[in-house]
Amino acid sequence: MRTRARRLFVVALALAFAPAAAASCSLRTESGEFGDLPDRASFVDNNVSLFMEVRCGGLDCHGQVGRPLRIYGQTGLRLKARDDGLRDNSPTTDEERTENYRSVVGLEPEALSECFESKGEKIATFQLLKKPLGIENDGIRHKGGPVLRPTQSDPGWQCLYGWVSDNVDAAECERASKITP
Amino acid sequence: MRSSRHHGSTRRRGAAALLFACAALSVVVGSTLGGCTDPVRDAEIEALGPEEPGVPPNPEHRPGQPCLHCHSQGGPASNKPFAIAGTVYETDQPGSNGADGIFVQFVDSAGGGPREIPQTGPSGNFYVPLQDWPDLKYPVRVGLYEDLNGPPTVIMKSLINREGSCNFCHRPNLADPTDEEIDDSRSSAGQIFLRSGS
Repeated sequence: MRTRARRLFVVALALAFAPAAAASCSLRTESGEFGDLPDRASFVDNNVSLFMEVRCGGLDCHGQVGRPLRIYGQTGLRLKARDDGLRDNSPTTDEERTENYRSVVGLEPEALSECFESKGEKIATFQLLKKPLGIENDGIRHKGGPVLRPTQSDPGWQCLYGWVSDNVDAAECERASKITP
Repeated sequence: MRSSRHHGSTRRRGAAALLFACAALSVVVGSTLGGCTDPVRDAEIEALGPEEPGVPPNPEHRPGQPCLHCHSQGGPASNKPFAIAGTVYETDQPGSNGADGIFVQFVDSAGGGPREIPQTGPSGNFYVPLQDWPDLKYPVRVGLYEDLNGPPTVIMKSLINREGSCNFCHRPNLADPTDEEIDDSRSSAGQIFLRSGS
């Protein structure tokens, strides 16, 4: 009897907490429950999206629909296909850049918010910054290897770190998006 | 009596544990030896279909297909592993002929490249054997040259980041694609070609 009563109590407890748990799963965006996040305009207007399209969004990297960090762009994955199924080489659309923004802020919104609000002080486990450094540059494992260096002289790092710490320089992002032969 | 029963049950438990360990070991060893493949890659290779009739495995076979699916470690052609390989077509039109005699020049992030610059064959296929570029450092840039002493005919606008099969991203253009193939085209850079038009 005692065991049965205990089981009933556990079930009742679970039922009582279920609505509360479900309610706390609702996600709010931008200045919602994660605190402040960098906005879409800062991502697009300062060429952060452009930089990520060129440097991260290759079809053999983050230009793949199954990737959590999924980047669309002119030379990579397209959001919409051409009617004839041939390659669409037109410039990256606003819609694609909005999707890029959503993908980036949706990775680890809590960590991004902490980083943004602390002006780049809190980045200890923030994968958006740690992964592109790779283990080689004091980051974490990145299948694509170390693609950024945490230095003043790497415009890619300056672009990404600048954006997540509310201090982005559009010129650095543009420089980082150039591929030289 | 109690003691001997206790010893008997301990022995039985020990024997059962030993049997279980042996069974588990045989499952692990069996699956390791018998199934040492990547099921995702196996399925992708299966989907490529059989060889074209009359074209045995040779440098001109299977143009347009992702070469390193087979020509890499763990693949069915792992005895001839490639560093990078692909197919160049004359035009961007579906059904275009392969471009013969085109030099494919690569430069990696360390400024290196293959020991020999690969050249396409009649099917448009080219390949770099792994032993000709063992220290490849991604990302890589690539250009197509009709004449190595002249300017490049085409330079790839983006980087090759880590995929050795050029045709993994550059899938052949299709003449009459299905809805599913049209949707899939979002993730293809289209076939590699020298010139637009027919």
